[in-house]
Amino acid sequence: MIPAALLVVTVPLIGAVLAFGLRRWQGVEIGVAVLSCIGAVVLLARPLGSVIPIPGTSIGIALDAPLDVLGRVLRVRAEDRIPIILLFAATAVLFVFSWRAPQGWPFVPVGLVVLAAMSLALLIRPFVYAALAFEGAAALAALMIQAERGGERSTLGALRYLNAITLALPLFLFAGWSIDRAGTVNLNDVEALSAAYGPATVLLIGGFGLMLGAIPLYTWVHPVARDAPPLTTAFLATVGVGALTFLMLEFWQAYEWLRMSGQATSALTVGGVALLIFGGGLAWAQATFSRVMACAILVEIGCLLLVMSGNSQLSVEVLTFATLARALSLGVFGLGIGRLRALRSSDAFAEVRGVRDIWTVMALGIGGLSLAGFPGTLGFVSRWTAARAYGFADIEGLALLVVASASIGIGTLRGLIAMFDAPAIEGVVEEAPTSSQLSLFEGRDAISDANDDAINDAVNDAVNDAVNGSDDLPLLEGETLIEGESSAQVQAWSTHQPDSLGARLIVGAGVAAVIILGIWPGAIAPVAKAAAAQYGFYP
Amino acid sequence: MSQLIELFDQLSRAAVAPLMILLAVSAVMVALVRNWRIALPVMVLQYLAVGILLARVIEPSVALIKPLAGAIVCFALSIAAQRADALRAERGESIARERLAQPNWHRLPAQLLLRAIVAILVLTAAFGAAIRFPLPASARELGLGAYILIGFGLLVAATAYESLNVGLGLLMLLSGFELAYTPLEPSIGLSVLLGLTTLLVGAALSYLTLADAGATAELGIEN
Repeated sequence: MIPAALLVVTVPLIGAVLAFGLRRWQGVEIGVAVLSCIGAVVLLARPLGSVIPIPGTSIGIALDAPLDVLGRVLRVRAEDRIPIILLFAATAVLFVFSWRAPQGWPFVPVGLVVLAAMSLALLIRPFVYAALAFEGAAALAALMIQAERGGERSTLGALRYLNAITLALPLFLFAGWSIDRAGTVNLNDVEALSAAYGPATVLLIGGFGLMLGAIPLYTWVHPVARDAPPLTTAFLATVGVGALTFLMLEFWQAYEWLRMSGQATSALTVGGVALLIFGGGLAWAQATFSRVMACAILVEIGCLLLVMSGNSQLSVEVLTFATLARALSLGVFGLGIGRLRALRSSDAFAEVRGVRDIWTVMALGIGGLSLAGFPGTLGFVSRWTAARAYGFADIEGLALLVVASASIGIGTLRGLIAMFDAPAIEGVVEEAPTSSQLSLFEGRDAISDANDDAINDAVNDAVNDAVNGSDDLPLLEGETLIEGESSAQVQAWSTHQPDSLGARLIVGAGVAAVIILGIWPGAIAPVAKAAAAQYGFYP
Repeated sequence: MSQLIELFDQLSRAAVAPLMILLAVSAVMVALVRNWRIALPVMVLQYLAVGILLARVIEPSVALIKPLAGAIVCFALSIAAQRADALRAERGESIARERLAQPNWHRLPAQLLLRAIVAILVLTAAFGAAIRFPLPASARELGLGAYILIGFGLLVAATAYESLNVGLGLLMLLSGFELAYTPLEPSIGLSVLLGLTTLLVGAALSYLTLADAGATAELGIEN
């Protein structure tokens, strides 16, 4: 029998090798990557315990068969199945989004390897080895964050991410050792529990906090959002944070002392509130879309932690639902940022004045409002269920969640208003016409005496082309010429991200998905319920 | 290979003091001298010392993974650093080679003194920590080695801004953790996984070193 755990890890790896080889043909590369993800999803969608026969052979694929690697067991368990399906599905969505919005060569092939490492982290036992898988994933994610950018100080985001995960590694390893050493303790004896498992709890809180970017508050999230291609940031915030969330749930499932300990629950609440205050407090005042995105990620993580502290099955449902909602909202918002960067080489509000591209506005507007939890979007459903899971009794906590979400909305709206502002024109100097231009104007005046409108228009156009540079291509829809810039420059930028039908289709589909799933969340809800059902320890 | 393992075994049974001195001197040098032509060979020696120290608690053949992985990483980093230096030199930015060939002893960088003072403090703290908070299940010398590497790793990673130097800090940090954790779980699996982690981090750091010099655009695809 071939254990499915082996395929869950190797299928994306094989996909990565193929995608790397085919990276010259972006559509094929993405197709291969998406097929790898779909293959893993189809495999895991089978009921646990089933065996899939391989035609023409006597062997089959056993879904829950264990795989022993160097004394560590890899196995698809009931609680792993749906989280891994979600991670693969979210990755596939982000890969599709990157079809006409290139994110650098590492995005697809390295993204698949990172996905394999994160799936490995969920499958491996003992748990502490998950930290090693995350460290490997972080090293590769550093390539995705850096992509093809270069230059002095350009590596801050990648280094911050790598630093945070590397610092978390020993905390997990020592937590594992501490748990093994603690032995059996009466869970009703609070003092004995604290003495035996206190160090492990503190180490785990520190480890998860560092990896999630919650300890200290300002670690990898902002530098990564600033430096990385936007869909890479969305990938790390969806797949990376999602894998960590499900790993935390597995710890909760496996260790009763962790659930019993008030220390862990308090840490989740404090961390959640701190992130909501930090992210929400900063979001409205940001001056770039990528920083608004970073604040939105912090608010999302804060919301996650608060929901987890609720300790109920509904919490698991919310975490599951939020993973897919985050992938779509951040993906659509990231598409908008990508379009802005392609048009203006920046996503700063001051630099994007005059970009009245409806597709960019739609992506940023709907993605941003969804991240803000605006009614009618997928983010609203996610926030509403989060509020239900956290409990309406804590009015202060809920108010904080609403204010932090609104702050993201304000930050997004400020950026959108800037896009509709007229471009600032300073120091306009009229240049005196050259002698050749003067002779052209004289010729035009002489012909205009003929009183023939058609001839006059044609001559006017020809003279204007000759004076302004006849090889200038017309601007694309939504592009506005800013002072000091020739239309040829605008065309050169747009070749990085062709404003093709495909690109518009992807934006349109993303926006439609955010709205349709916001109105009809029932399409995702059964998956969330199925995931929650695996965590029987919750009331 | 078996002779190499045997040599490793013999070295691990020899006196530990020279190894500790080598660890401390190498860590101080990496913290003080931010030049890859000095730092990377010193790191190779440091990996050798870490490997010999690990051979005291695990099989020498398994402990050999660490210096091998370290040497490969240092080799990859040196290629990346050389390419980065060549690019900077083309742009007229690199002064590292000249500074190394003709050091001006009268005008040493002011930061050097600061780094030297902090290095002494970290070394003192490592000695203090090894005595006051001995690491579980590990011999005192391993604990001291771990504290030295963790302390200097944090120092370098926190104070440097170039990818290569931050990376050397991270690699020292990983070596320190390995010295501290291996006695707790002396298994082949863990050593292999930690060696693999070192290689992956080294690969990422090489890429980031190239990116620092603006060489990563060459790795993209020309459509």
